[in-house]
Amino acid sequence: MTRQQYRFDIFFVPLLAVATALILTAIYVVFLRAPVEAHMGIVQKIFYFHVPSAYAMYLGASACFLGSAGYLLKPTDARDAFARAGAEVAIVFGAIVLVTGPLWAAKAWGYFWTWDPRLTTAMLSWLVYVAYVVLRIFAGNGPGERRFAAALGIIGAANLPIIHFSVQKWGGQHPIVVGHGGGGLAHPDMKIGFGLGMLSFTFFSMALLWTRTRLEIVKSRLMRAEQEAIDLGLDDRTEA
Amino acid sequence: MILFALHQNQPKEPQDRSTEFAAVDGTHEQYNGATLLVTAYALLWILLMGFLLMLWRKQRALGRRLDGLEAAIDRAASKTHIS
Repeated sequence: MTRQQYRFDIFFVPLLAVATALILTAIYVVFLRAPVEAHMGIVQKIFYFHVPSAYAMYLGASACFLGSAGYLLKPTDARDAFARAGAEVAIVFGAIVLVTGPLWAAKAWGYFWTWDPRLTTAMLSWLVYVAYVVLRIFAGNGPGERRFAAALGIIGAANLPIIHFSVQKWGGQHPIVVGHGGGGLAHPDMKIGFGLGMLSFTFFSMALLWTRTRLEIVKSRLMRAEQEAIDLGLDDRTEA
Repeated sequence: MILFALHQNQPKEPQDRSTEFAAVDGTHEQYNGATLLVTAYALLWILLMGFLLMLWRKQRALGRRLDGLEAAIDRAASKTHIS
């Protein structure tokens, strides 16, 4: 086992263990301790994982931005891998946001979707990261494609503050419960459930980000090693 | 005959058509909250587990490529040793 592999295990296993423990605790608090909301009923419990998913999407998108900006300053496999991992994490958690939100809205608003500023900007941002990953899958892995993707990763991040402040600037139907202008969570167990949801998804998204980055770095190094082996005549797998 | 039937089905006056859709009063329970909640949590875990499955498959594919490279290097090394 190399030194780098050892470091990988040191980070990944505790991250996953902490995330798992926190998620199980969050599920217990949300479903067995937190009271049912007075107006919306049981469907309000979607909130405890919907908002943390949105936050995890921001984390992934921020990672994509940092990796992309870093890659444009100094191109390395690790920075490119971090950007790509961030985009994929943003897609996964963004998909959760876009699925769970409408299911809550069906009960609260009476319909699944409306072109509300926050919903629209969130979907737009998610589509930017889908475009990023599609570009990486189909356009190859050369330095030019990586630079182009890095530019897209930076542009995609420009939408993040727009999503966040869209409710305050343009109104719309999306509720503000936590944070600026929000009424907050009335019951202490609601606060605990929400806090655990946020914390567990932070650790879970970090674990996913870490393992996906690591995987992409290994892939890049392996591709380079394969090419070197072929050039040196060591790898005969390409021979007819 | 068909043309006659089609002609008969055409609304005669504009007011015969629906011009708006209005909600029925008193229907608060359009969607069952428990069903929506279970669907949301099921989809959440399907998406997360799907991503983990994708990572696992990528890891396995990389492992196979690494095995191939190691085998190729071993073959090249044994050839060099023989010669």
